[in-house]
Amino acid sequence: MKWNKAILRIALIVSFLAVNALLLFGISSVWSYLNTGADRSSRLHVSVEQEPSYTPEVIWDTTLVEGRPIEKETLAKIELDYLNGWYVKNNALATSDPHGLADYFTDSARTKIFDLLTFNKNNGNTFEQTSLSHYPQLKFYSADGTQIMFVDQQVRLFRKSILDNTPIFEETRTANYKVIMLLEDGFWRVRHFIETFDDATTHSNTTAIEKINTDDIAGINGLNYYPKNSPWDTFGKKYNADSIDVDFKIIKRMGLNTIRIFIPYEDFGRARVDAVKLENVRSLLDRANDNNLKVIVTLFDFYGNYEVADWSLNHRHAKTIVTALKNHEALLAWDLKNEPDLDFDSRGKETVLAWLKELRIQIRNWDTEHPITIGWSSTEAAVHLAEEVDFVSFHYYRKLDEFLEAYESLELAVPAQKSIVLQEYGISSYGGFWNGYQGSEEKQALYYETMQPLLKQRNIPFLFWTLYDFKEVPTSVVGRLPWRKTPQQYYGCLNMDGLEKKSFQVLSKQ
Amino acid sequence: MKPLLYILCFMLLLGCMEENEEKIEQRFTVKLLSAPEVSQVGDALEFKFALEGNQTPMLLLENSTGPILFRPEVISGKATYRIEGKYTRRSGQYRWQLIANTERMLSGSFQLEPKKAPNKIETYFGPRSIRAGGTDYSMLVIMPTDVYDNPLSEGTQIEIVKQLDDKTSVAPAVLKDGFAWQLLYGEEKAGRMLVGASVNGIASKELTSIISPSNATDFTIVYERVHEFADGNQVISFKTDPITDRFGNVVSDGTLVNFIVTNTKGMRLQTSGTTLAGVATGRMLHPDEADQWAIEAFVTGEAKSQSISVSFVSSVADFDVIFSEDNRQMNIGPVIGFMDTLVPDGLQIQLDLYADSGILLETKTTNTQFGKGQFILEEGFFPNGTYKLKIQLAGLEKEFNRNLSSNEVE
Repeated sequence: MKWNKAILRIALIVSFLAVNALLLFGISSVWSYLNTGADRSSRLHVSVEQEPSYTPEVIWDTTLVEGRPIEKETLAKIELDYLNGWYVKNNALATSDPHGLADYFTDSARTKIFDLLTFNKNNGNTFEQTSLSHYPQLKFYSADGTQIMFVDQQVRLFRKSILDNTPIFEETRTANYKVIMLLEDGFWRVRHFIETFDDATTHSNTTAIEKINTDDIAGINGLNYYPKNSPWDTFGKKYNADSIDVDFKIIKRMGLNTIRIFIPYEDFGRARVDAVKLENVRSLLDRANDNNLKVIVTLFDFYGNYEVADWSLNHRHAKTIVTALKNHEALLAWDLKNEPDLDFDSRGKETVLAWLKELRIQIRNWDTEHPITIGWSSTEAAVHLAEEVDFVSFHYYRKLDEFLEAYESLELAVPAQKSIVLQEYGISSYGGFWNGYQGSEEKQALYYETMQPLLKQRNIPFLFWTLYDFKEVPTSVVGRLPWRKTPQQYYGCLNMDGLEKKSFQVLSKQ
Repeated sequence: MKPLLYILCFMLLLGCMEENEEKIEQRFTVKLLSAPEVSQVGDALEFKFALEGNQTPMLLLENSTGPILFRPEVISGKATYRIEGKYTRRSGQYRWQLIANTERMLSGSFQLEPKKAPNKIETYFGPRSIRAGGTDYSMLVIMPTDVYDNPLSEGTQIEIVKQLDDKTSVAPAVLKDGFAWQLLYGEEKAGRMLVGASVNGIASKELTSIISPSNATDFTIVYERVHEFADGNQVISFKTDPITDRFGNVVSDGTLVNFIVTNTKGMRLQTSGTTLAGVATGRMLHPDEADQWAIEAFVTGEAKSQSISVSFVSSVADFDVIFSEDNRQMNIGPVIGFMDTLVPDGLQIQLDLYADSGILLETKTTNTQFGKGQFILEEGFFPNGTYKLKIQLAGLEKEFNRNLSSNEVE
């Protein structure tokens, strides 16, 4: 009885304490929740740095402005609001949702868009479109700075027409628009937007004469290059010009003359290219030049979206890189994308091809000298856009004895005068649990012993995969599965310690 | 082996199917029967095509606002696309494309002119406040639109009406790029400018611009005071004459005028006033000792006045100082002012206390109350001995050499 009483007493006290503790804990967490919220630095919204979402090329001509001269700051604001207007309108056409239109179109201008959206929505029509370049010529800026008129010339538009969720048509075209904008509540809003005929006032953007130099393509002997310690992240924090110089000396000693490097899209900051990384690319090109090596630069690595809404960002990214590097001695060619055909299934073949086609046109505009190619993953895929590229590139990881056949069929399928480059090939020397103890250094050497004479005999330019074995392979390359990941580590002709594997001698024999 | 065979068969089948489809594609042809004549905005359009093959092409029509897809009505190989007037309300360039199998089969373009008749005139006028003189201007921007909110066509005549200074004038303007603009200058006279525009009898609303006077020109000032005595009590006021700009317009009410006073010691005093009907008034307290002031007024950055001078004479002729026996207490006054009355309360009295050696020990101040003032020098602060005492009041000065001693009564 006494025991029971004691237990009861203890239980009561403990539960009383527990309830109190819980209450206190509850009140204190409510209290601390109410005291969190905006911290001081975010109070003024100064720290919010928006990533640009729409970045077509815009070049203003303000030489013939009536009314009053324009201020730089105003023009920047007008450009921002005008492009935002395009962005929300593109969005509205793609989703039939008029969200945001009210900010960038005046009352009477947006009712016209609403009518159009309603019709298209009721009929299941949507349009994915983006503008890629604008050459607006400012014609009028009012004395009180609240009205503006310009002719947006040579607007390059890409549009995908979609009917009941099925793409039915894609086109690229140019148009000229007369635009009147008004300053209302701090926004420059479109008042009138009228397409006009291409008349005499068009932007005189004469394309420079192309003098593409493809002489060196046929003589490519090289490899795909990643540094030993930072594979798939050549230009990141681990970038080390000295160790790259050492690697290049080895490559040169092997008798090779070309390397292929990769520029990851996301890592390089998308539309706003990371200046440090870009400087690292330049430094790598400098080292290559010192060692008499030429470089094929592969753009858009690890990019896989291709969405129309992304295009203008893609082009900003590409333009920054292309214009920064195009005058470099060591640059040999641009590779638009590594193995884009692998995205055909997930993103749609037409979408990917349209993306590549437009990107090629843009890069050709910015760089009229260096040849452009696309690193297709197979001989079958390499026939795509063969007319457009300056030389054809393909990768080959299949059986050796089928190589010539595949190559010959590709040779027939592409224009005769175009060089065909075997841009990636090789075999893993991994022999372990994950591939049933199949591979070995000897087998790798044997592979190259068969392949190299074949390439030499046919004069096929080549870039093998790769210089080093890697300690780590990022999951984004081949996924997580160990039977895919592990062999990927052993494609090199130098092992993880930098020592020569058997294949090294074979590849150095050239 | 069997499954392989199946797969092979299946592949073959797939291959065949694709080929079949391609054949259909190739057989499909379209012929344009009638494209619409170039008509007016807001009119319905009709496209007719003869189809050969088993496809339903779509018509992609694009105007300035954006693209629209139209489905046909197919009757015995003839496709008709009816486009309601609703979708042709925009003026400008139209492009049409006939699409089948992701290919452009046919295409064309036409242009629609806006309606001739104006429906509404939008006017924008600014800046709404300009300065007189005939060189400053407001800008009128005119955007007339038709019934579908399209800007009227190039070259449309516009009349701009301007009313200024009881005179009404009409000036023509011509529409270009969807709008017209004109600079409307003010005149030498300040006032209001009323403007408006009309196209083909349709009028805009009336707009106003205020023409404010131009910069002030140099002006003169005068002063007013009740007497010339430096009693530190009365107020002297400075007044400008009506300030005008160079065209004779009285400057805007509220124009700030600064009055700068320089006294004989070279010190500057400042007061200011804002204009009402061109006249600004500044006020300042009389000095409490005889002084000579030089006064100048400025409309900063624009105009200034001549310099005038005002002199003040001392309001007190003399004053008495009565010392206590131990010389530690001195009573000043009663001080008599210029009207033989007690001076106003608050007149400052200053005592400078010097040691015998001539070093200034302390300065004490007090104010008159009922014409009197008093200083007490405590023994704890000032030991017994000889001091020089200098008393100043309304610019007058008296000096004493006194021996401060202990109070003998205690």
